[in-house]
Amino acid sequence: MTAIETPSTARSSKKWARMTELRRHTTAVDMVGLVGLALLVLIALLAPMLAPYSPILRAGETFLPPGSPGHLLGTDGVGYDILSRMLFGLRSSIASAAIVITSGVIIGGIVGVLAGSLGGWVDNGLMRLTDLFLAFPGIVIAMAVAAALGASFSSALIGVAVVWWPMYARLIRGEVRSWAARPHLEAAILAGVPWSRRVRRHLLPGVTSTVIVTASLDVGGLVVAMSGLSFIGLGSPAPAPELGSMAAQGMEYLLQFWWIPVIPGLGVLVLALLANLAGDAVRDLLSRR
Amino acid sequence: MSAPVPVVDVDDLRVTLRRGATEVEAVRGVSLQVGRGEILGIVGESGSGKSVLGLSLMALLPASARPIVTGRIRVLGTDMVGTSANDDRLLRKKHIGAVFQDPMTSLDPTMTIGKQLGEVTSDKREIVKLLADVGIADPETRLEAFPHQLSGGLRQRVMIALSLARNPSLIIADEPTTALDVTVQAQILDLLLELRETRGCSVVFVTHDLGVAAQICDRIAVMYQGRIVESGDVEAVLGQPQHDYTKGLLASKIDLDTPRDRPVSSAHGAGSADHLPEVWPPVVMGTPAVSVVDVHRTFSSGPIWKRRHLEAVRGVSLEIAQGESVALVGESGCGKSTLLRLVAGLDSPTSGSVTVAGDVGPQMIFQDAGSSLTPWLTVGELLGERLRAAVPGITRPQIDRQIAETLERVGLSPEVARVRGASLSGGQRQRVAIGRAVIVPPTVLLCDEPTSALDVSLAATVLNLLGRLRRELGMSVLFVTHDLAAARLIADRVAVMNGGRIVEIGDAEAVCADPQNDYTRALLSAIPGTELRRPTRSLTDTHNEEGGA
Repeated sequence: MTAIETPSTARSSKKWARMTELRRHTTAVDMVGLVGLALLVLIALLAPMLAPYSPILRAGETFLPPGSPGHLLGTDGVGYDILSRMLFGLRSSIASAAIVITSGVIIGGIVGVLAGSLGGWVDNGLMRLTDLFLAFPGIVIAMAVAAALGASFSSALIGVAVVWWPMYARLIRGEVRSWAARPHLEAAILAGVPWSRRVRRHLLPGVTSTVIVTASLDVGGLVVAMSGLSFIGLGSPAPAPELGSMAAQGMEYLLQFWWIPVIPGLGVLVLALLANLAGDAVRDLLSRR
Repeated sequence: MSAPVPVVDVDDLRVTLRRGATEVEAVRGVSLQVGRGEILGIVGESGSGKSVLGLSLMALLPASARPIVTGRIRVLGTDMVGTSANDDRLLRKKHIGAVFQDPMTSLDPTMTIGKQLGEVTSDKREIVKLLADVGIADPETRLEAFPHQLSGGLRQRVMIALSLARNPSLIIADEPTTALDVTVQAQILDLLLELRETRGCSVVFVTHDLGVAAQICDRIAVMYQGRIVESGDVEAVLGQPQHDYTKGLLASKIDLDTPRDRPVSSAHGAGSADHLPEVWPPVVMGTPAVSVVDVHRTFSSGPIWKRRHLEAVRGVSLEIAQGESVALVGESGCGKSTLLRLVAGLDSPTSGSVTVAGDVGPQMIFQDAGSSLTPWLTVGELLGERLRAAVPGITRPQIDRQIAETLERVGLSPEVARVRGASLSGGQRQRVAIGRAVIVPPTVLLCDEPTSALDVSLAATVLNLLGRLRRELGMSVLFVTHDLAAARLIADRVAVMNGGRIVEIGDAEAVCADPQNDYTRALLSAIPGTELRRPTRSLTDTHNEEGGA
């Protein structure tokens, strides 16, 4: 029924074949996600060059609507240029999402793989510890940690990272356990494959797609959580540009000067949406491998 | 209108299923009729279109496959192709009962048997009568049972009771006995025959097993690549098959008469690599390869204060000589797979000892070859890994050469090394699994039902391959199976297990010809051979007087 794929004969054409295969398997939506997210990251990286004004210095009149000369997205209640603040805010939001999610995946991954593959009392111990973290409302622990470290961008990051890993630990442990029950792992044991290689080659690749999808869904929630901390004064101190806190603090102007909260809100939405689509695209590519 | 209306009348039925952009013509112009009270067998291997045909009769083709159905299907004179989905459902309820392979997936696990039957008929007396009709002892107490509390055979009986509840004129049974042990299978077949007598309903019986079809059907239609290649009375089709494919199927059917001294023939010469071995008979040495001494294995579950214990293996001793092949035969739950895992070292005994000679140790072939291959690794990576683990310091070119040699040895082209298991067929996957197990020849090769998931012709080629490899490589083989006929073919000695113990062990031919134990006798008599159920009309030589159930 299924024919064996004929591998490309010339080695040099392998890369090209891979590229065309990638294009064939990628839908338009996947492309929007991948290209869009790449663009956002690029914009964030180039923010200092692209931004017309400083994000933390008054740039003009207050409450200028979008489209005003010199202020494409208008200005806010202090007179900051919203476009410049958006560019820098995007930068810090992407950076914090990347740092917190990566640390969550790494810590949660180590805990989950150990618990899932060793089982027994290791599993019990690590999972009860995870439960302990999950039992408290995450934002409260994050607040406590951030407050103890003093209000700054990095202490907010640490605070959120502390509560972010247990979810990944649970997820990865469950995935590891379900893969570990499959005969291919027993076959690998009988083939004499050492433990570390079994985990690396026979177990983890099965876990990645779920983790990538979950992580990409997480970006939106994380930006909101970070903004929550800034809002109550535990994140970056006041004038620092951050999408979440810009939206939160702009809420009071919603009825008169809608653009002040809506534009950063849309920024969070676009970032979360593109991260999600890109996550889906990566998962699709991985599963077709 | 003098001729009676047939219960099923199919004319030039074509079914095309679509997945993405690809279209598969699953049924290509099938015409057939089923008379009142008749049992028609639709026999074919996987992919022959037999199940799609069965599903189209019930108008149950999966909507996700976006089926295109043309032609005509009439059930008791009512059209099943043109009518809308709602009308279809009404007709189906009135006329057709369905029985599927796995009753566990067709029954609702959260509802008691009584409740599920209660959805069809609210009269409790009738429910009890239905359960009694399908041979469930003590039906009143079973009403409160959940599906998982019943054995496979009982579940299938409940499923049949469900399908009978609306008094259908037609039952469509798709591989209803494939998941069951042979002795239970025989009971279910008897039940279907009995129901035909008492209720007069027709049965369309879809199966891959010619032996089962021979036991129950009046007529047989053999399907191959979406077409019916041969149909007729069961005696005619099995006695004087006309089509080459039918002949091949019959030849590759393994029963107690299959000659042991040459490879089994297979339906379409799929195993061209299976030439006659040079070494025959196999060389069996006196030294033991595996010795199992008084092994017990007890599984415990539940909290400490109310521990439950399940004794899976209760004192088994077994010795396998070097180069010898031993088959462990028994029904599900007899402890044969547990014993195999103990020998493999995947599990350790509660008491007793398991010793495997040599440094290479045991290798194992799993029932489902697909799930024993890591999905994201290529065949070459899997085989190379085994080589690297067993031969320290082996070089890349050596690995590549050995992989190519091994793949050829198991009848695959060396290019297979570059693909993943998912792009191979079931038979090819099993060959890859065998290749990984023998690339470094093990002391003993453990096989856990390696053929039960395969079609007859594929099963034959895999059995041949195992036999040849064993001789070429001088391995011992421990072969777990529920099929005494396959055991007799591949093994020098057969050990019959029941309730965690070996109840009979001896020379394969002797055990099959002259069983000493009652349980062995029961197993043997339940094997469906190609003999017919009505001895008076039989055309084939029946070798087994008590056979045929």
